[in-house]
Amino acid sequence: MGGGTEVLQNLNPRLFVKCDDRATSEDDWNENVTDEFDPREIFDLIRHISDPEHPLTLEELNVVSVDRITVDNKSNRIQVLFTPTIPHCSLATLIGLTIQVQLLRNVPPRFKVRVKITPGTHASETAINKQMADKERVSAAMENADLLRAINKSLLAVEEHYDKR
Amino acid sequence: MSNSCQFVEKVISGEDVLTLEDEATEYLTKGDLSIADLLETLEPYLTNLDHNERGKGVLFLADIFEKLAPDFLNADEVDVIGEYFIGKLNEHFTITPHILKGLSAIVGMGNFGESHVLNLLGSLQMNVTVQTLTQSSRLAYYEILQKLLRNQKEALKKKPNDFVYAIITGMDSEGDPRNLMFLFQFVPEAYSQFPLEHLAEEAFSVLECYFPIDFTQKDNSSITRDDLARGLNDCFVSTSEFGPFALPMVLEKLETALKVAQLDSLKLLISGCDVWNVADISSRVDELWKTLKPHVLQSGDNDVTQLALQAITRILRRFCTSPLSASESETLDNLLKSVTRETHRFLSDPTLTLFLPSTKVLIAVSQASAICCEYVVKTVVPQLLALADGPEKKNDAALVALSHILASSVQRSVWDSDEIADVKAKVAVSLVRLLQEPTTRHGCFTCLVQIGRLLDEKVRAELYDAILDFLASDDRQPLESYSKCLLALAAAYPAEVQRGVVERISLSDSDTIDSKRKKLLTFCWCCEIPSFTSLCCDKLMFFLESRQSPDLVVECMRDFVLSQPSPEVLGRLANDDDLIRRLHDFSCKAEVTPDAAAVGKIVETLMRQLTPDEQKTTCANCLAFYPLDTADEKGFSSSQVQLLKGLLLPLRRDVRFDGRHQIVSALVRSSLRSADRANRESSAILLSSIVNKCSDDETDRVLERIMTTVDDGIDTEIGSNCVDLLAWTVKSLILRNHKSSTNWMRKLVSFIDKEAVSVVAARGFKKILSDRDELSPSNFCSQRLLFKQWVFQWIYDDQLMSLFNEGGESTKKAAALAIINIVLAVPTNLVAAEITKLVKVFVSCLDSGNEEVASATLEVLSSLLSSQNKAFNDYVDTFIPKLLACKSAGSMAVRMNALNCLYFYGKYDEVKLLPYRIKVVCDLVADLDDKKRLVRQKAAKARSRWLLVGAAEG
Repeated sequence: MGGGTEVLQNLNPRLFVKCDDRATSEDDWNENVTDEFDPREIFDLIRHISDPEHPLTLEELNVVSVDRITVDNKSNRIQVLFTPTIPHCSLATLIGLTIQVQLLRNVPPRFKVRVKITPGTHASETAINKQMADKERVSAAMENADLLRAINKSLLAVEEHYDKR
Repeated sequence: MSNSCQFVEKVISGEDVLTLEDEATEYLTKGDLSIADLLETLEPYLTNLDHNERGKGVLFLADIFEKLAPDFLNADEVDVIGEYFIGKLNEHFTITPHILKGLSAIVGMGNFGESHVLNLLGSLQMNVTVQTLTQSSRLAYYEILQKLLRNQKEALKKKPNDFVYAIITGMDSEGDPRNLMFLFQFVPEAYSQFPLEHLAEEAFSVLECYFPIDFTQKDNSSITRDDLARGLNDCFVSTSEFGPFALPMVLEKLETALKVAQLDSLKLLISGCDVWNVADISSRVDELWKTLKPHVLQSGDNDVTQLALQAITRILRRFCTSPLSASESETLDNLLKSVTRETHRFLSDPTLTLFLPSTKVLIAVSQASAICCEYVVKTVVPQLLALADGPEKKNDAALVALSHILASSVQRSVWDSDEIADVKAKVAVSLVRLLQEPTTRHGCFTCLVQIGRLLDEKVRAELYDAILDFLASDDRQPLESYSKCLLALAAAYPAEVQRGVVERISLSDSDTIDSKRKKLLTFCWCCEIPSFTSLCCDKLMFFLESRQSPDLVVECMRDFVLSQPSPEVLGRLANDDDLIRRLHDFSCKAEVTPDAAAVGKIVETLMRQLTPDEQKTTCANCLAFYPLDTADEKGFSSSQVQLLKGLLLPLRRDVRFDGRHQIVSALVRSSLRSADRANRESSAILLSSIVNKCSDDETDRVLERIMTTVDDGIDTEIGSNCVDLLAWTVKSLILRNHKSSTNWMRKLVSFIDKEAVSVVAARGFKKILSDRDELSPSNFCSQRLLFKQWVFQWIYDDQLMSLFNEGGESTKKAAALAIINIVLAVPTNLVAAEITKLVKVFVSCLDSGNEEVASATLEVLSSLLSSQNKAFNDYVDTFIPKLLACKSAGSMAVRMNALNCLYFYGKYDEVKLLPYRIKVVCDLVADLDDKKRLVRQKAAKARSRWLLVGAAEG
């Protein structure tokens, strides 16, 4: 941030406690046991994405949480609900798109991924959900170099987390 | 013909004068040649109409004067020569550099007269345009000024402005880092001694253009950006006259987005606060706070935030330590009000992002001075207490923040002030009450560490009751803050804490395990207080001997001695309280031994503190508890070995103990015959420790015993155990640099060719290279310098290489495993240096089809790749296809390691990676759906990385 010339939309968002890293069990190391996808696995993929406005992760801002993720292994569906920190956040679309890109890159293509705003948490909820559900608009957005750079910047935080571990 | 005449003849005969410098200097030094003769001889040069020839003469003189000792020439000679050189400053421009060189030497001479100083300054300004000179001549100009400053200060003070002006005009536009380093050291020296007056602005301007320093260090240059930045910073704070100009510059640079500008500005502000006038700072305080605020509250950069907080502290401290005018006092008040007002609104809820930064600002303010601290205590402490003691939820974060302010307040002794007596009372009451709440206990203890000793007796009594309640509760935490609080109180009021807490603690069957642990740890921690050590040690031994949770007692004692208490505490426990012997007595006689490994660890830690004599006595006392003569054919039991490890591992090299022969025999038996794998390993390690430390004669006897046993047992059912014992022995011999280490190593290598034990022998290299505390210098073992490097050379050994290249299938795999185990353990930079030789080995190992070999190879590769060693850029074509093949086959460990390698490879040179990007990204899709989640995680990590290859990351 350069000397306070940038105006933040939400100056003082609420901070949430981060959950611990997922513990591994004996079954996790047993080749004969198949691990199904679960909400926690999806959450681990997106929790460390950095917020475009603050040097904080989506988990710390409670934008994403494990209980707002549903995974259906039988019908191959994943749904992620995310909660913008304020109802008028103009960056909600960018955040949603970043989550979607991260999941499209890192979950098997057999899954249909839906990223939506948690109902009642944003003024333009319907419009944004519609945008996010439109595959062509998402593809077009991902071809926009500036947008892709912003998304990659947020995703680099995930990699930094990997390197810290 | 005299020598000097020879020199004159050479000059006259037209020999190049510049080749005769050393000769002339020698004649001058010996007195064979006078200065007058020299000048006369040089006349054809010095008066030559050709400026090149004149230049030669002047340079010749300059070089000679540079070589002469500073006190060689007398005052008259220096006068003549000085005047000559000063007069020559208006010479042809090609001669000016030589003149400056000569002047630099002459000005440094002891006899250089005051009368020439002002003349020289005037002539320099009139005739020399520094910016037209080369780097070395500019440096000579600066050196003249520096020598004048150091030798002719009084003369310069007659016209101080001329001297300052000479510096300003001279250094203007200087761009060479070497000269700048010189100037940044000289300018502070000059400006701190001469008033700048009307030249201050101009002097500042020539420095301002360098801020912040933008400099990229060349490969072999010794000058770094930080050196230049530090030097420039020193210039700005060399005089208080720079304050009015530096502050706007700092404010401007703080507004930029460039991190280096922000950091340099903050560093300058911090150091400038000690030098610049309060009046200058006062006029900019509002702007400073406004500019610093975003950096302390919203900056994403920790370095910037820390410096900005320091700057706030220093600004306030400057006000508080200087005599202030009425308006400056008002400025200070207003600043304190602004800071508290601006941060106050963020203190309403600790879960808000700005709560913590706001408390950090207030802590920074409280650290400035007693006045500031008192202000913060009065305005903020009640608010934080109210927040912690809120009606809806009790908040620990507010108390942790409060503890930092309390620490400042205690350091500044503000609690003696009557003005905050009611705040103090409120703090005491609230903390004791909040101690009852599990959610605020940690914060309370953290605050009490700071302020506990200041509480009055009645409150302290309530506090001890609250501590006992906490000990009786089921809550596991907080332990660390509790221990610190207890020790702080015990240090201030030992008798009171003994009566109020220690003597009132008892264990009962109804206590939960967490409650018992807290009580036992309290006794352990209290051992730190000298007057408590014996009491607490007796209490702990009482609980142990009366079988009140013996395992828990031992566990707590072990955790305590391993938590690095002071050596004095350990010494008291070992000597005064005889704890080592008491633990042996208890463990050897007990029907059911408590955790022997934990008891061994306690004994080991205590033994390490003893002197050789103390160790010898203790050892003799304790060995009596072991049935050395009756140890059965399987040797020592597991618990005996653990205790023995504690007793014998930390023995100093010169400590001898009785019964060594029986102990070695029993250990050899238990290392081979024990049914318990851990016991076998412990016995072998203890044996190797004995081998490492005993005298050469004794070592030979022990080695003979081991070798015979290994040879006898290698082809039997205990063959693997024999190889393990051999590996530990080899390790010990290598560590002590024993003459027979090579022979023993060859023996181990030869077992790789023995199918029944080949893999065990290969794994032995892992043991040899492992870092074991038992065999470390902390246990007084010899540790050969670079022992890992010594073992590393064995991968090129003919015996091992021939097994790898020519052995049968199982031998080949075992040899590969041995090599990989070596490579895995040595420093990565060592392997990286040999990478070209090792690539073939890595590829063979990856192709071996053996899971263990492939997995270990991938582990090595992963570790090497993570170090970003550039050598791997050349092997992209070799390794990427291999890694892609490995990740699709093999065990989970192989797949995970292969994916890990791919992740790290994704960070290498993008140009080399781009041809593989699409293939890797597509191939990894399958791994995203691996049946094991841990593999999927690695695949996602690797794929994300490769998707960023070639993407702009800006």
